Amino acid sequence: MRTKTNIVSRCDSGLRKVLFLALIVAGIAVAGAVNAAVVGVTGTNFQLTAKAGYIQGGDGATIYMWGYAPDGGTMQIPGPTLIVNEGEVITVTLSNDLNEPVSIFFPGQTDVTATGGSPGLLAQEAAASGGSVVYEFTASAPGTYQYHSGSNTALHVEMGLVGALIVNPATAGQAYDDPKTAFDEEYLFVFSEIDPAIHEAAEAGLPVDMTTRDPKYWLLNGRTAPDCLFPDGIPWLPSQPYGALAITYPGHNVLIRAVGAGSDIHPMHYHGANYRVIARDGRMHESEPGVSGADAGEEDNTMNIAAGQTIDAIWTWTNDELGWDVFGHSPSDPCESTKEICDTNNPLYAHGKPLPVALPQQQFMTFGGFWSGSPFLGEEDVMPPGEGGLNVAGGFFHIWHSHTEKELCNYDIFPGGILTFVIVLPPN
Amino acid sequence: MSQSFNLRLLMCLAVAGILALPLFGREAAAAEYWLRADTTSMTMPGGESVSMWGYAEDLDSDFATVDGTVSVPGPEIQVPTGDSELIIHLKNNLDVPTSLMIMGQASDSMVPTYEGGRVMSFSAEAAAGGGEATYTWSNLRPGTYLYGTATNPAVQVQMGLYGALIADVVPGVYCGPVGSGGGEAYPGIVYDEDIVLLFSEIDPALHAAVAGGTYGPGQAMTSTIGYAPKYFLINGKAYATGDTPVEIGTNGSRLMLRFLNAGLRTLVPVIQGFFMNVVAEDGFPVRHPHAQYSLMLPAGKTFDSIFTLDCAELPEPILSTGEFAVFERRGSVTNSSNPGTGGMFIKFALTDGDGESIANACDNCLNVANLAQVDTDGDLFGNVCDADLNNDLFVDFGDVTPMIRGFIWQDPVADFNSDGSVNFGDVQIFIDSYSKAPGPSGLLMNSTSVSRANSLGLN
Repeated sequence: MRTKTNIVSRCDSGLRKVLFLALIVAGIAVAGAVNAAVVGVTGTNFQLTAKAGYIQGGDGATIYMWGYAPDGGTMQIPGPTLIVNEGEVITVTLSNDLNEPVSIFFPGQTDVTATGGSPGLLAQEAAASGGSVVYEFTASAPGTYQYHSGSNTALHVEMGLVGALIVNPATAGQAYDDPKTAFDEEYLFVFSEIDPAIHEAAEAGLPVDMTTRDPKYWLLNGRTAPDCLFPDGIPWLPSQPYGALAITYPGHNVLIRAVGAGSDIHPMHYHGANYRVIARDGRMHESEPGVSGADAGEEDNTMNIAAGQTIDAIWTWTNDELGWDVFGHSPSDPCESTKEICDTNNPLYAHGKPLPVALPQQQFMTFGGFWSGSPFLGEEDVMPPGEGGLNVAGGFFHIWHSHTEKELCNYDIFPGGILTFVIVLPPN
Repeated sequence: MSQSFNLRLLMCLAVAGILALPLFGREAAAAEYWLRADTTSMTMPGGESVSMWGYAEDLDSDFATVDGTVSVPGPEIQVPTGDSELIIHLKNNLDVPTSLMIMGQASDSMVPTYEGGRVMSFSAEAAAGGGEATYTWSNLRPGTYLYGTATNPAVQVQMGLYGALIADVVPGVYCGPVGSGGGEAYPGIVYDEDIVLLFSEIDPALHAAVAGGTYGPGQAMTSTIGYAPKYFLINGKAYATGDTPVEIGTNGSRLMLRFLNAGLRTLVPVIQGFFMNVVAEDGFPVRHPHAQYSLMLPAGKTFDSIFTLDCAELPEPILSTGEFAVFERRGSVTNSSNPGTGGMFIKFALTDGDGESIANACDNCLNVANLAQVDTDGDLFGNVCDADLNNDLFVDFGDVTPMIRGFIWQDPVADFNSDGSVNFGDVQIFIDSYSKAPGPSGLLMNSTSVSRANSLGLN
């Protein structure tokens, strides 16, 4: 709630755009089912092509990029999310349409071998304009990883030659081989940045001084807000196929897979509840060596996701310390001890207490499509004519955003950048 | 096999205990260093010369003569295990006052210097143009630390007044070879070999302004607010194409990387092909070491990490090429406007002392090329360096009878040169090995201490 107040006080029309988009998305999401899995390409054999193309900034800018394209497809930012299973032997064939050597470096994969190409500093390189190289490794440990060009790394990462790699454990519905990492929904957040001056120089074939880098766009899954809120694969963003809107239900475990794919460090702030960090760099937090368990995971609400790193965390929205019942119980419903506090003497007991909602005043209803009047948000009430229709399912919105405030802009225009929402849909 | 291996381990522990006794028994000694702050210059890849400030270690332990080479970073200060006191004498040949501090260590002289009510330094200063000062840390904590200037750090740190300080805990059960650089960094955290990776940056505009006298209030460059580094250094070196890899893994398989950031920005070093166990931060052991391939390394911070060259699980490309890299992932892998990769990039090569393309850490005979690694009795000493037939860790008269038997009965354990039969070639190896310890073997991290055990008459 505080979030909305803050944002409203800081902006007006720009936010309206964001919220309306969110509402549209919510409507779409409600029409279908919650998409619980990360979107990407699966299998054991992947074909990637490094090529040039363009993406759209949230402000309408067109930006020249280099990226990895899936088999025969369009260049995309980030590169295709490779989703594989623990223990599988993975081959990735890289073809190079760029006019300088390129490669793929897989941090955290310790047995990568390469066939073809020529030796580079961090990985075997595919020669400029048509070269290719085949990488092979065993996905030996589950987790969230990334891949990026190991050639001319400073420039290639900036230009967009990055992507995520997810290795699923044998047990479905877990992030790692440990039941404590079980989740209901998973969302991938790939962070990166763009300094358009570098991209313009690269497109013009001019020399680039990477030490002058000064980003103006901050990307979440290759998009800047408000585009982050659109669904996956929308036709008008052909090179940015991945959305970043999270949708869940009260009490569900949301697995956040954060990937620092750019060159900067982003303090991503997840509103609504603390998350529990379960892993970094694809390795679970352990309370002692060899003792598997996520129990050493720390709770936090702002995640410093560093360039090159990955962090996994689990976020859950419950009644705890909220004081209101987010599960939609009425007082006469049985208390669910696995989800909520059922001891009536506990000061945190919230069973059956509906979220109180005061309808906003008429003058604030210009963006009131957000208000559903649903029992989930509180006691049902009559909405003013024409209001509430976009948030038909009555989802509760929490903003998730970078806390480096300038990263909430698209080239100085707020709102934009690394900003998305989680929508908590009412139970049932 | 396992029996003899355990025997060696036990022997090693016993030796370590004996060696440690005198240290436990004596009064803690003081380590004493003489450092001179002075000017120098460094040539960057691409040819740009940058004027620097640095430290030189005074070789004759007095400041009467100007000796010792000024370096950036300054000399690595190693505090011998067992010493809990450190004294550093500083002579200041710069034209501004300077001083010393060790971040994370309480110093007796850590008293701020004021001028007109304004803090000029966090510690007592040595006056410009030849002044001297002495700093004492009477209760030094073990660990990895940055030392450097405590005066006007915004300028003086950038100019190059920083270095690494390494203080290991008193030796406990350490079994590594003598003088190998191995030790026990923190209680229970033992390594065979350590490598310091000190990260720093250079904004040449600042250096030119300071050297040219155009830095300061009312001058062309008034402050460091426009800090824009162009060169990115590891251990004072910006990578350039073709640089020779740094050898690692000479003395065993447990390698400690000590990360220090003397620059002004947060860096993210990434290691290729390995996960590192992060064991300490700012000189404090962490409770739950975590395996990572990357480190978020803010300005002023130190991390210690350990990884093991496990020969059975050595990453395939590293096993075949013997090389891997550590690089900075935030884009500091460039040299100013020069094209290509440079800056904070360092290539390592696994040491292969005898050149048979098996890294020392995985080699059962360090000094003799034996690609086949034949080890008939399975004691982790390859046959070609294992004339110790009775496995008492020394080749002596007790091995003569087994040698004669081996010769007569053609026992493969005495076929040292693996030519299929026990013959006079093997007898020659026996003679050459006589009155020496077997090995040394990289698979036995404590192999050299076997010789030590022998020299102490324990065999």
